[in-house]
Amino acid sequence: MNVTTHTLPNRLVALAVAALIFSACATAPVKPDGAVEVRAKLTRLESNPDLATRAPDALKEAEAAVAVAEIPQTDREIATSNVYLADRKVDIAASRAKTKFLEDQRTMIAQQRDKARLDQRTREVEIGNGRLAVAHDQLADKDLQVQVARAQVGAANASAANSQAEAGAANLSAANAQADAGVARQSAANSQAEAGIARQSAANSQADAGAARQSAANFQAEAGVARQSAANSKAEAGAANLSAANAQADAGVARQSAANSQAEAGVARQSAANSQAEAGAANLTAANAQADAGVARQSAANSQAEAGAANLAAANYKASAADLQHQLDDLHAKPTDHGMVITLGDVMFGSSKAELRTSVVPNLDRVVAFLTRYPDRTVAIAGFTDNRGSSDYNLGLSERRANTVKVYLTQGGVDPRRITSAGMGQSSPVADNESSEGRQQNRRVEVTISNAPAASR
Amino acid sequence: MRSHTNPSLSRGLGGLPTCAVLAILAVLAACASTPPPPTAQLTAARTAIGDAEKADAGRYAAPELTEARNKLTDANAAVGQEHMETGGRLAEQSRVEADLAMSKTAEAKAASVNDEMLRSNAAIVEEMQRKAGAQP
Repeated sequence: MNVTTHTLPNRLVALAVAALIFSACATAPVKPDGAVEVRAKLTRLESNPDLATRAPDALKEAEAAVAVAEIPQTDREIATSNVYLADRKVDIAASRAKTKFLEDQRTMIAQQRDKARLDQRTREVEIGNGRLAVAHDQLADKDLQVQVARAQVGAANASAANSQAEAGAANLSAANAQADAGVARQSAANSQAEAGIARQSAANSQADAGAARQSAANFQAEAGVARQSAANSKAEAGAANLSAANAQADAGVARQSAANSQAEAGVARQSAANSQAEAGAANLTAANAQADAGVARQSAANSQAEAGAANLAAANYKASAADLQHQLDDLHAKPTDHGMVITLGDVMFGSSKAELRTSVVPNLDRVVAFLTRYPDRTVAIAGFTDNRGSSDYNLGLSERRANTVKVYLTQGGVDPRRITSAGMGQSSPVADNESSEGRQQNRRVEVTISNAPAASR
Repeated sequence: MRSHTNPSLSRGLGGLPTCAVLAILAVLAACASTPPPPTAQLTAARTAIGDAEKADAGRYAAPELTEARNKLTDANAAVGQEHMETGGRLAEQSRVEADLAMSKTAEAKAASVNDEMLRSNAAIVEEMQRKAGAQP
């Protein structure tokens, strides 16, 4: 009994201590604040069709963290921390899903870019075909000009025949003068004057033929000038015709004056002997006029030969235009305001290297062949790099690359005074530097061949 | 007689019964022991912040990076006051915040690459239209 009276108060003390301990360590469970909001945020992410499936691992982690955050905790600090972690993990899952979504979009953007580039190339080919058509039209114009020149040569021939006829008229007039001794001196002088006019007209014909030759040379360079000179030739031929007609009229006047002089036969009889000698001289002059007409005919024949040569030159020009087009097509040259730009192979240099890869050598040999074939063209070489490394280093590297190409062209026999080279560094990328493919395209050398100088055409 | 054979066991500690002594010991072990410092969590948080800084998070996700750094400072302060569990939780929060800064940085970079590509596409199309206008 003694034992029980002592143990009862002891048990009460133990119970009180235990109750004190539970009240200290184990307050009533706290419902986590913010757990509902985090669950709502997770649900929104999971119901977004663009993002729901794009970051499965991060989403799984976020779901686990939200589940932990929803467990009631006795300690408020633990509950708050769990909600905080769940909230950030949901944010991480959303961010990773958006990143993946952007990366997936990139494929589509790259396809759009490829399509745009293809359209651009197609457009350039169309422009090239348009230029070819214009060149064909210009050739047709030149053919027409050659035909006009031929017609002018025919006109010059006709004018030479007229000169011959006038020379015949002068002969006749000289014969009349011989028959009429009294007037002979006067008439002989007239005949001499007519022969002089005929000579002048023959000289005009020669000048016409020269003008035709000049115009045949000129229309190759400038169509408008050729047409103008042809018009001038025609005008001069008309003037020659007019002067020949004048000579005929003068011959008629001379005949009239010879008829008048017949009445004064007595006066002239005393100088008949002298006149006979002078008539002989007039004969000689008429023969000279005939010879002049022959020379005019020869010069007309020469004009025709030159027109043939002009035809041949036009054909050569057509062939050289086709050859030029062919060479440019082989090099995939791109026409610009400054000239034809040839981008030498996307794979011509390795990273940080200035040595040529063998794959670009055929392209460079074509450039050498082109420059040898067209010695009036000059060439500008510009080197470019990607954005790896410092800009100073890249500037030096691009200079070395441009110089490598210059040295290669020089070794191929191109005069170094026709070549300029410069390094442009990383300043003008043609492609995205984020991908290795883009950087490869940026490591390049552009060779710009100047347009043909206008004077050489 | 049994209680007299070993009196010091039943009333040895200030007269308290054995079960009470055991309960107090258990409570002391559960509530008042000093756990080891959360070294692993602190290291993980520092590493995550370093990774985010290397990825240029200071430019793309500055608020998140700042909060991660603040949480790490708080964690170190808590550990210094021997609040090891609070320090461990703050270190874990710091690490997750730094992970978020990292994710946001990657997202911002991906967005800027896409923008750049779209701009480049627009430039190609514009150039083509200009050429078409100049030489119809």
